[in-house]
Amino acid sequence: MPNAFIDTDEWRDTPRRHRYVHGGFEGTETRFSFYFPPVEEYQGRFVQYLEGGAGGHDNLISLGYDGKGMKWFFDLSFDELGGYMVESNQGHFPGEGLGFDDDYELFGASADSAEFAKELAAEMYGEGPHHGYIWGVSGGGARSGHCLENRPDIWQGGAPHAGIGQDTQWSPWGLTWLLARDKFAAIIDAAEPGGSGNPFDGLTHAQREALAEMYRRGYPRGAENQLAPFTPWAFPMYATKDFDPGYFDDFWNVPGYLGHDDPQILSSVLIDERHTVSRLVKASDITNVMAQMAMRLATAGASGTEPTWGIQIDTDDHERLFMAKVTVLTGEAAGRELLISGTEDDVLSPFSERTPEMFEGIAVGDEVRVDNRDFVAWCYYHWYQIEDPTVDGIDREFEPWLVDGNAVYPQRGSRPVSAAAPSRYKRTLSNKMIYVQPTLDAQVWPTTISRYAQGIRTNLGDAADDHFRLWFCENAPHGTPEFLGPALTSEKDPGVWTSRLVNYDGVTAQALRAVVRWTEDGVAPVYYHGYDLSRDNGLKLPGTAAERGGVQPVVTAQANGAARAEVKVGEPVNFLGSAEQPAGQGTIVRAEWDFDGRGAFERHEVDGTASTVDVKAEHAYSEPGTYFASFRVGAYHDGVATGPTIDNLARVRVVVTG
Amino acid sequence: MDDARFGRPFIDIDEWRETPRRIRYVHGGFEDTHTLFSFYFPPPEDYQGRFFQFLEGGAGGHENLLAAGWQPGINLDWVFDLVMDELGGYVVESNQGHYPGEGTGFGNDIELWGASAQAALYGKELAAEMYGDAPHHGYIWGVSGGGARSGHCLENRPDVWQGGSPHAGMGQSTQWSPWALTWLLAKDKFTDIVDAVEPGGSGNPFDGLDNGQREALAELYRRGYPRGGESQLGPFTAWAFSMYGLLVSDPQYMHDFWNTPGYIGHDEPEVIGKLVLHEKATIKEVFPASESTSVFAQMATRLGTAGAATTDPTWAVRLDIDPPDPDLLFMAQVTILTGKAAGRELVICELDDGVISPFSEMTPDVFEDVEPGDEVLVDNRAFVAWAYYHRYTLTNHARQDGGIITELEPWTVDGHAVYPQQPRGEPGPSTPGGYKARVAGKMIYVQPTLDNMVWPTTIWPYDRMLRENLGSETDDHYRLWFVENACHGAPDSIGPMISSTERDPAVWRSRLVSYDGATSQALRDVVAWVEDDVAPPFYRGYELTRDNRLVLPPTAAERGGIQPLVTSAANGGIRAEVVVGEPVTFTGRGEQPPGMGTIVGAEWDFEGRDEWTPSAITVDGTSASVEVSDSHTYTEPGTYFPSFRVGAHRLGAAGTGLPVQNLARARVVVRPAGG
Repeated sequence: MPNAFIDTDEWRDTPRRHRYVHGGFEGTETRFSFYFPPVEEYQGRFVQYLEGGAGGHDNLISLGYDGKGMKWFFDLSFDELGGYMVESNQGHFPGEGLGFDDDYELFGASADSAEFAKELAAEMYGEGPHHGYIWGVSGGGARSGHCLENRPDIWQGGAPHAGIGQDTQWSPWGLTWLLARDKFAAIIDAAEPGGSGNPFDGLTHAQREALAEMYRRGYPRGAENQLAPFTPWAFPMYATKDFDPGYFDDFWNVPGYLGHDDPQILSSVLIDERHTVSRLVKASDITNVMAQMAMRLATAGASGTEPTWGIQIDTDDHERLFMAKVTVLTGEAAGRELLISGTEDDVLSPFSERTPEMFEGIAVGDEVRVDNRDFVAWCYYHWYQIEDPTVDGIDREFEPWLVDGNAVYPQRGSRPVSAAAPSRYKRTLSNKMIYVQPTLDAQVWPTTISRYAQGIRTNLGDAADDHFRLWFCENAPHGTPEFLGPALTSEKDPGVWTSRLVNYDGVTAQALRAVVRWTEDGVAPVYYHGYDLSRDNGLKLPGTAAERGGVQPVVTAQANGAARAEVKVGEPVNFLGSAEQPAGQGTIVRAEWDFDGRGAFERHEVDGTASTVDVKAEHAYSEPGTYFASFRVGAYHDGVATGPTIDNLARVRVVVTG
Repeated sequence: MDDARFGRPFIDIDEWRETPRRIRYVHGGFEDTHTLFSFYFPPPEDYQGRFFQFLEGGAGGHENLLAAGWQPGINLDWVFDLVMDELGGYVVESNQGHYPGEGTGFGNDIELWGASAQAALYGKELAAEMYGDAPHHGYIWGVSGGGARSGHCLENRPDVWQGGSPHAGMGQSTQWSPWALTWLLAKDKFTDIVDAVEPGGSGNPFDGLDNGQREALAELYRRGYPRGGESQLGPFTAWAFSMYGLLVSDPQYMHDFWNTPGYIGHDEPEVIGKLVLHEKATIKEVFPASESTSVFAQMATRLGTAGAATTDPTWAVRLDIDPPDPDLLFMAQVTILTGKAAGRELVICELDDGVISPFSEMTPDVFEDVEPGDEVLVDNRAFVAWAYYHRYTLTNHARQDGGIITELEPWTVDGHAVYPQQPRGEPGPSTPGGYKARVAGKMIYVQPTLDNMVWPTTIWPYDRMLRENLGSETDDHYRLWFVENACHGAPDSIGPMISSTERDPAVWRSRLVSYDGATSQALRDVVAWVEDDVAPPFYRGYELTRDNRLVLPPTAAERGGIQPLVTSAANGGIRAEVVVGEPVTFTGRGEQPPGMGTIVGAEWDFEGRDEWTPSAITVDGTSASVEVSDSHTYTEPGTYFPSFRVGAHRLGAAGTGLPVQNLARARVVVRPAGG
């Protein structure tokens, strides 16, 4: 461990009383924050949180991206687990790579931070912690898996979320957006409750095939309403350009590739145009949340200048230029190439990770060339890069692109796989892991963990049950619904997202409680049973709480006895919501209906002692329209009375005519 | 003789014949019908109270194939000896209720089983008169269309036939369109595909193909095309059956494919355009049937065409057009625009160096009355549309099977068809949904593994339904036997007829084995099963992969069945590379499943040209397995596919009739000496 330094050491009272220590290690970029509870709350543990994405921040527990921080995590750690909290920037400042470059980023910096915190804890409490735990989501989930595998001496248990195994699954999503974005509303309507159920209806031949591919690759069923262009596609696209630059020529020029053989299929989406810059957009003009976040990341540590963040050009449809390359042809910045990774509010904004100068130096009237040849090629990359079978076999997620083990399309050969890929893990554990996977995670799909789980089972045999659990969290997305939904999709109303999806924080909290008891008292956590991937890589969960197990309630809802009701204005609709908590896993403590599907939940009386509830409600709509009513419940495990509830929901469609 | 739809029987030939052996031949029919029959009665001393009925494949329509010893693609010259010497039976044959050129043989229950039953029952009357006793048991078999109909016979008239052995016919349905699509898109790469998958090849048939070719070939495999059957790829005359069926059953599809959003024909005309031929032409030359190489013309002239207007009609024509891809005339519709035959529409199902012949089963007038100078319209758009039909009709054939059948899952996601679906029609009689899937008698179903016309997958839905219906009694009524390395019929006639990459019958005799020995054993076994309750062996452990590839167990003991399992190697491997004059060591192994008799022959065809040399070791019929080591030296450079063929017989050296064969091949690449 390098020499540590401390630059902040003070007692704070928000969000509750704790000693805050901030510092770093000399000669490194590693920075950390420790949150020590008052002595009377300490029971000899620590809990470490790993930021997702690339990492790089060291104050998210207290501040978060939104300045609010993770109050529930303070309460859980201090009140229930008796532990202090540790976080670090995982070895690097923001904007420096993807956070998966080496062992130091994967687990070394986190381990050093934990060890230094132990020294401080020993001084402060008289005793160092006897156990340490770790968790994180997405990139933090991926790295917390490496932490558990590599440093069981530091962390005896943990709960990685939605991160292990993520790899190349995004290009079919890009392809579906590229070809079928004009049909997303129809696809969503078909897939939402009470819809036709057939998302292919009304699509063109090419759109059908793209959507089929995305499903077969594992896109979560039910997450169609999260379909949208996704800025982080730029990460794998740039990574591909780095390690396989020839692909982007071969796709268009070599026989056997679609771009060479059948370019006419792509003619309607291929863009190569010249435009004039019509407006410059400064950072302070940005209203979009994602753009603001990207802006903050991009400018971290920069001086007080305000660069030109985006441009508008002379076109009616900016969104179609998503992931296109802009080449500045005239003016002061002539020759600069930028990848467009945002088109919010008809502003073209760059992937600043690669072009930190952004649009600085560009003036209205400058000419630009816009072409998306590279993006179109990347959207098909999953055809041409099936994981090298000599390294680790073929993922079942790729089987639809094979016949008899032969790849149907020409193959690029071995590629460097991300440190989050299944093959980059040892897939063996001496400590305890409860892996939490949201079922409607559109960024890290439920398929991604299957290979890791298989590997654990193969390597540990029957002992796997002593070290590993996989818990799904139904109807949860990759993060906070009311933040992710508006930030990523064209549905900007946070209330709609609150009504559509649940937060997984209650499951996270329960996973941390359970892993502590498993590690220290030998109390085996519950199993999630009977889940399966179909041959089309759709996740299938059992229909009842008893079959399913886990910690989350199973919820169903009906409007006039069905998933869809058709009524007149003013005509009462009878709603029935039912929920069941798996046996022995606590009780339903909250039940609520949101009739309009806009986040205005109305609580219904439940006494909190039953593991099943049936809630009947009646509601009449005063305006014509299509409503998605949501029935949401929250559960607590026995003995738990505070913190986030374990939520689930079910929805129905009500079509109201005048 | 209980079917009032048949008039009185009449006999127009009743004579003793000496060839191919002494037989009383009776030919006749039923008044007021198109049903004709032939009976072949052995002398009384050969009769043991049984009859055996053969059903012609395809549409049927002929009642005298056994007399000729031949059906296109199928050898029948072994039938009389087996039936009369070993099984003590006479033989029954009929045209299955119709003349040639009257439909596809699946039109109604008369064609499916009624005419065959009526012929069998009348044969019984004649047998009773001739021998003093009517037969106590009757058996039936047939291949392809005859296999499909013999299944209906067994299901519907167990009183007539107590057992039988349908071959390669039940469950055939629409599987041909992905084959046609692959031909349309990838015919220029068939040689490369074959080279990749032949022994000692790269094993990757996709190498070197363009994007559309890769996707078509993948679709063909996923639909179940037999792996190892690539060398049989070529255009197939009988696609016309399926295409005509579609024109009749779903004319709306032909419109929708080109005009409705969601269909590739509408959405991506630029992709499809290169496959379309649509132009006017003039007749340049006409050819009578007797001068035609058409299989249908040969049948018409060789067998006599009952009910046809003339015996040597104008069968084929040459047009004055020279399209960039002359192959696109295949399966094109030709409409006669001028002259005496104006208005007639034909489908071209055979091409021979620019001479086109029609699908006479649906247009028996063929090109009669067509003359040089007549104008025609040539249009293959129906064929192009049909070549994609498998994408648009996933549910039609699954009515009794609870939704989309397993074999069609690659075209679905989460149970939804990816492509728009045509309205669900009635299941065709040869489709799984057309059967009861209940058998009261005994059935041994025989399926060649390299049958590229009726793929191994086709029997799965029937097999599944039968097992559901019969439950624990299935094993008392039904066996499924595969015959490895056999194709749809006689290799030396099927191969040259169907393959666009290899026309030499000798090569086909080296590549594939005949299933006739297995057919013989199936008939022997089904008689013993029915009459003496001797259960026939099981074929075990086979399965279909998710890509609909048939996988068989690797050892004879695991596999069971009646066929020897064979392996071979050249210099120890699947591929040897040598120079001219350098000896190559060949090793071969043959093993008969336990209890199924012994190996009676082991021979090498070192150059893959049907020149067989017995192995140096003695094969005396006393052992169930053989291991041989032989040597051969090649005198000319080239690529050779040596074949090691093994025959087995249930009774060993004492057995009569055809052995059950199998073979294994390797590749030897011979370079010039010093080169």
